[in-house]
Amino acid sequence: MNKEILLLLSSGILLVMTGVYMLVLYRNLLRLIIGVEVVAKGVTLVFLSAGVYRQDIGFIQSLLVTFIIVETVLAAIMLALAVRAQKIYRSLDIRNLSKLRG
Amino acid sequence: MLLWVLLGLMVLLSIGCCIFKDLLYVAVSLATISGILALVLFLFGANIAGVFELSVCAGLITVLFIATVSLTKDSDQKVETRLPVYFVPLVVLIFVGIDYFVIQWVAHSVPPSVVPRPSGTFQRVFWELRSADILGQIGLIGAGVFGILSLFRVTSKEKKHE
Amino acid sequence: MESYIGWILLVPPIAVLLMPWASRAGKWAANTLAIAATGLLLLFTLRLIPAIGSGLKFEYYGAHFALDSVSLLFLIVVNAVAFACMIYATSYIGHLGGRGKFFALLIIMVSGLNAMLMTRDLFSLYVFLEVASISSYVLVAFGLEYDGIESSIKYLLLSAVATSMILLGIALIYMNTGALEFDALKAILATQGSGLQGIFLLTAALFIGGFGLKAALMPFHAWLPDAHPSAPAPISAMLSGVVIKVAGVYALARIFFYIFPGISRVHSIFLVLGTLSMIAGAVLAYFQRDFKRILAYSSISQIGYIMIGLGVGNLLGLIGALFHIFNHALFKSLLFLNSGAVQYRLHTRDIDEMGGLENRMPVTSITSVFGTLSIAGIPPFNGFFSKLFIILGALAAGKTTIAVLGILVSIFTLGYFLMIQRKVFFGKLNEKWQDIREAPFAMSCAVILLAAACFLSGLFFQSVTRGIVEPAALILLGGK
Repeated sequence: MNKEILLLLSSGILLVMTGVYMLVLYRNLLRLIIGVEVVAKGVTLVFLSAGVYRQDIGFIQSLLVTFIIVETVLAAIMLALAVRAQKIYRSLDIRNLSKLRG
Repeated sequence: MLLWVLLGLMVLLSIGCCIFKDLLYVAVSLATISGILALVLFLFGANIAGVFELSVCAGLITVLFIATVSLTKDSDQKVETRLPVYFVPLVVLIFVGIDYFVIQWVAHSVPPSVVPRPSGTFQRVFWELRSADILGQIGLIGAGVFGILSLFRVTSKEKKHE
Repeated sequence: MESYIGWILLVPPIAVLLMPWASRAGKWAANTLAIAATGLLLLFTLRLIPAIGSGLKFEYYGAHFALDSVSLLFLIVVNAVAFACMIYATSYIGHLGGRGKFFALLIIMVSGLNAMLMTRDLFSLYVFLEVASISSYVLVAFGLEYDGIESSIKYLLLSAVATSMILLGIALIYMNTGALEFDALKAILATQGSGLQGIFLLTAALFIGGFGLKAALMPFHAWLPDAHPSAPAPISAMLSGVVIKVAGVYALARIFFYIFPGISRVHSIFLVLGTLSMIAGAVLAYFQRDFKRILAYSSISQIGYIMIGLGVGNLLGLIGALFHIFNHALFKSLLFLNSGAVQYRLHTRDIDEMGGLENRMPVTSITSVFGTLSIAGIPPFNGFFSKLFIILGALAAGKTTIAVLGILVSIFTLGYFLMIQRKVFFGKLNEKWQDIREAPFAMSCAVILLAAACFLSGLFFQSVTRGIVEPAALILLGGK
């Protein structure tokens, strides 16, 4: 595995870990949405590294384009839910969501 | 060399997303991460994916996000994290450590190089080999459209208040 | 016969496109379109049963879809429950508003699940899973009440973590094998043997985490007890009865029995997590006071049974697990729809406030009895036979402790469901509910259909097992 592929893979994993860190530790809904987006960027990098390793960029590009569409629709729905939640609560703190127990 | 700089910048910006207090800075960092990602995609020859990434992620999602930030302006913006900000460098070091071990493991478990069996150009793969995904994309866009319409509809309760 | 697959994929987009006009034309037009769409899907699925043979293929310009007995079993589950829920929803939607959009989203969710079952490629599986998931996030929040929006956000965030795990697993598999279709992966694995063990364990862990969260397996269950009660009743029924099984259990079965057969560590993990879910779900259900929350925790428990059946790995266990998937879909959606009917009339979900409803809501009460007897495993209802097969399978594999635990939890389940039945329906009629009427006609129709299906599939369990379940179990076992 040459250096470039390893570099892509490691940055991807770092981004995923950072995103999950944001998801676990933050309370503001909008930051959580950013966390999901950062995780998605990390996953994109990991896919790219897999594609470069297999030397089949065309295939990976197709997967990536589909994934970008998924990510966009997901972001739109999340943001819509955040706007609606804020209308009801007057705040974006997910501590308010802890009314529901797991 | 360029790759090191670009990817390093990406990781730094993602840490910035954690640290910045103002959500507008966070939105701009996310947009910049998407831009650098698009550049990396171009560098490796994934042109169409790069264009999508740039226009859609760096453009559309950032616009949506900033619109949401302004729509939710009157909410509280107090202290947010469960862990203080100066923990971040320690956490970054831990993450880099985990990352290093994972990479070593992957590098040793996978054969160093592979016989390439390229599937062809993007056009051929997208429209012919993976046409099932197109049905999926239509479904996604449909779900998104109807989802936004449902979430922003005026319910009967709201009509009564007006 | 193959063209039926194409029609199953084509009917939903056409119905969704026509829906805005239908809803503008009026209530009845929208109702008819929605019921016709799901009815057609069910009809096509039922027509496919005798013709399944050893598998059907459908190709269109490179989109490969294929159907085998495993997919067909889940397809029947999805379309049957969707049909009943759609009939129910035509009346339930009255107090929510947004009729056309609800029907459209429900049809999109069903089409996502159907396509997920018929695809032969890991990444397409993920894409259709996302279609179904995104529609379900919106549908959970559809009432735009704070309950629904909160649970939807929690569900969404946890699901985002799950999908990232699944995607990392897919990327790792692609890196190792260069292929993403099921049959290509099977072939590569057959030739390579156990050479790639290390990486595959990591991939397996990622898949179990990701799909396990979708299946609400412990310890990934945290979203379910909030999402299922807060959603509108037909959506709770669809989620609990269908989505967690197709999105979670089907994917796990496909990956770990068909593509990568015989990783014994994975089977042990299924057994451990399954037993944990079974016990914890039942115990936690006992302490709840919200009708739908009890049902949600009991879903976690029943998924535990299914995973135990899959984990023992022998024919009896697999038949039990697959039959239980079929049965649980029927009786859990029945119970959720009934709880929705009670909520529709009483405007509360607290069982301590209910009582004696059998006088005022006889149909709901009797069908609930059917559902309770099925879930507790009383013959001749269907739940008895599937649980029996799972327990016999555990005994045959030498796991006597798990079998004994299964029997004990089953008795405990009977206990708390009888308690619910007594508290809600039997006993003295609470003064508040003197003027309550029975649930509307459409809702009663739907639950009567499901109750009849529970009873008949129990009575005729042999034909159901031999016809639909056993071929599916044989495919999973033999990995053909």
